[in-house]
Amino acid sequence: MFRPDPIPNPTLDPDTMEWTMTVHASLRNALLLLLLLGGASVQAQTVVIVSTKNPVSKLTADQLSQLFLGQATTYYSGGRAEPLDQPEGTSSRQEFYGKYLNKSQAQMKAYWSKLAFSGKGMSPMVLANSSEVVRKVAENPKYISYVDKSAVDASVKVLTIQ
Amino acid sequence: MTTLHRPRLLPALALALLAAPAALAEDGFPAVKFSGFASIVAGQIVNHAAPGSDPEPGKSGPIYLADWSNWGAYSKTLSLQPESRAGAQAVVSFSESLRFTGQMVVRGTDSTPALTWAYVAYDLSPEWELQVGRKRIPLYYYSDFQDIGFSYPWVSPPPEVYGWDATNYNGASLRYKTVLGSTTVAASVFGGKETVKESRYMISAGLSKADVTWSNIQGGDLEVTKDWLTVRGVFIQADPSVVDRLNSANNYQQKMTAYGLAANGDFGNLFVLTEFAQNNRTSAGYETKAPCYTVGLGYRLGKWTPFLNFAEYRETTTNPSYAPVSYMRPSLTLRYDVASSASLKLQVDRYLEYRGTAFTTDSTVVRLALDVVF
Repeated sequence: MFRPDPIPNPTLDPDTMEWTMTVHASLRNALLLLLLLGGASVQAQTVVIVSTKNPVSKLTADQLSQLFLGQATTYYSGGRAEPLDQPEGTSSRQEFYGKYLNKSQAQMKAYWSKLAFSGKGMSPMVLANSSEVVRKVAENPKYISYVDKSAVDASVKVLTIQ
Repeated sequence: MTTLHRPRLLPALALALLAAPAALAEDGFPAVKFSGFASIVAGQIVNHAAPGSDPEPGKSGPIYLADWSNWGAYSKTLSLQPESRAGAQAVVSFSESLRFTGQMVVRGTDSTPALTWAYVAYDLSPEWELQVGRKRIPLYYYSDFQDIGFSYPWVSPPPEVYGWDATNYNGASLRYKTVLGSTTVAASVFGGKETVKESRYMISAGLSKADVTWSNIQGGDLEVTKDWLTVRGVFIQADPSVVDRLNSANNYQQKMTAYGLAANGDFGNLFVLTEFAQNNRTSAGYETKAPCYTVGLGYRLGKWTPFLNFAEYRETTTNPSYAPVSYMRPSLTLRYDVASSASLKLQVDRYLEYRGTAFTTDSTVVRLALDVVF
């Protein structure tokens, strides 16, 4: 854990109309801005959820990816697993696949069309919206999905992804 | 003309319906899922060397064969016919572990809808799945989803590797999949039989009314994925035979073995697709071997994916009266994802023969494709 040095605010010189700030400071501000933006996206974060009845509390990124690619159909603890998707084009869906599986929506569609039309698997069931996802996940421990952190309630738990 | 054998659907349906009542009590079943795909492909030969002659009646000039199985041949005239196709699929789930899948495809080369898939699948456990009915032969990496243009970077998988006289079969397969840490493993064994009535593939031999049968199809494959690497190996054997309804002197029987090894690397934006395969056929004491390979390199730039490929096919034979065919083909494809389920591709192929056929010649082919899935 590091504590950043105090950063001087840039000041506008009224005569030259130039910003006076050291190069170091502006770089540092840029970095801080990035950190803040990163922090902001953590606030509007997409999280992975399961039912509170599900004993699983954390998954590795590999395990999560295997579940949403249909490669694994059970949790490592042994219970049956079934992923659920948000509608196409939603920011949760884009962020989830981009962040955890490093795949674009077109890549995922290509992946599932390959499996679906060759008898090797079916893409996850798509639900109408976040509240439907939370409701469905809560009712059965086999389901796993993702929602914006703000949509999480006491009926589901957020998994730690390592 | 019907190129694909009409399947015996009734046994598969009967099995599905017999098993259904027990499952009907389950929540949400039966459930039906419809989906589909289409590829509209326009292409033509833009320049060529010495003239070849088209073996199809009423046609002239050299051709470029993009799809041997369905005789999808481009000529000097712009055409949508050789490779355009559309398919629809329905999956009826009777329970969490029992499903029926049916898929129909229509093609520019054959407007009669053909049943490409019609099978019952039963999950014996989370790892084991039994499928019985009509399916595509999982010969090489892209064989069983060869029609789904949206799923690969080319306009069509390389005909050097993907161009055989049977594509489907009636039979059964047993599939196993598991996860070992960060490695996923899938394996299958399959067996069955296929008859292609009035095979369009046989146009290459000048036969317009010949039926191709692959009996005694037996094979197995193993696919392993770890991190960025996917490797698949396959071995298959069959007894192909041809019956020419016009002249029995053209009939023949063969023994076939084929194997393939595909290795694909996905490094995020950069990806590499490679496959090596060999098809061996013995007939009347003579052996013909057809090794082939394809190597491609692609780079994802947001919605754009340029893809450079090189493929080669080289026949050798011990039969002095058979002229073996050999050729190579560099190609460049530019794919643009119009939407998350539609892409446009422009591909230029430079087809170059070491030893060609009477109907082909060195040529440059340009194709434009729109691929959608829904």
